[in-house]
Amino acid sequence: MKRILTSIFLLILVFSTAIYSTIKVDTITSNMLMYIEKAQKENSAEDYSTLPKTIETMNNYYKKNQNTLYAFVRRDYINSPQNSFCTITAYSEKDYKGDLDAELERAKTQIYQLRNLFFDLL
Amino acid sequence: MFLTLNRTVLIYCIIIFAMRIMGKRQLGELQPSELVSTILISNLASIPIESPELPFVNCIAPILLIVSLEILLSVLGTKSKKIETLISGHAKTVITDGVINQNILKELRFTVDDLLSALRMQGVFDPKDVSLALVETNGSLSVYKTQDATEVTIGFFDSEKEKEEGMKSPLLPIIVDGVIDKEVLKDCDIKESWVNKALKISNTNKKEVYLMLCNKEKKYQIVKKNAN
Repeated sequence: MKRILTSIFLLILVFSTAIYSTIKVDTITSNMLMYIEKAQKENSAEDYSTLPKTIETMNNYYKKNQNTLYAFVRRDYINSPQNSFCTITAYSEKDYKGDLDAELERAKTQIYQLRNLFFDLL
Repeated sequence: MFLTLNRTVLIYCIIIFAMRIMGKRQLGELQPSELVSTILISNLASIPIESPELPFVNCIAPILLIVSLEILLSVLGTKSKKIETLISGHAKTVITDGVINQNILKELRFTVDDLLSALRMQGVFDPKDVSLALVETNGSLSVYKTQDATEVTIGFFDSEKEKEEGMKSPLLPIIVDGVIDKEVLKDCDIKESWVNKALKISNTNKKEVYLMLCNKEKKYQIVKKNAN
């Protein structure tokens, strides 16, 4: 009887972890995509007063949640957007509009790759 | 470095826990589902140690899932004979009264050499010395020797009495948990109508029977289910 209860508890634990990780990864990546799209809009509108702040908030948010993502996703998939975000800060000026747009697009693709890896069913 | 060390210690503890809750059956001869889970667990356990870039939770979750599925599946097996047969299969009679059942051997993809080797490991060198040989669901061979081939024991001196009581052939489970096993009935040359008659004589019905053992001489024993 103890074994049956333990196995039911383990099953509940595994599924709760799966649900928790799904919610967490979905929230973090959705917020990251939102920040990237916001930065893209500000870059195309040449709004350089708010753009550095948006990029900084985005960087801080990703750094803050990186450890949570490490628990559920392969580290290389988490580190590649991080590498892109490191360079973005230097491009938040008018002279680098095209470069920033490309970097943001790359970061966006990396976040989508991370989501695809995590949310695929088979 | 400490990442690998910590993971190794944690994995070691988790596998010991997994083996403990899967029980002693896991350490002896394995049923098919137990073999599958043991192979999968041993492979999965090495992944997080070898690949530190992989998330630890994702490596542990499948191990815990396999352990709980294995336990729940074995519980289902005890509740339903059909499920147990589906998961583990059925013991097959390969020798009856010294005669090798060639069709069953083909079905099991056993060669005669395999059978003879398994018999030799049981101390039997002539199939004619075997009253009944079964290939169990875990692949091992169970042998019941004929009385002429059986070693002398203290009980041997009562063997004449046993012969009279009809104990020449082994007792086999014809009812397990209220379900009649038709393959065993066939092996014992018994008809279901005779079983029902025997149950009636014992003032019971098959649903109340936990275990009924019977042999070819129609000598039987009945163990009734507990009231609770």
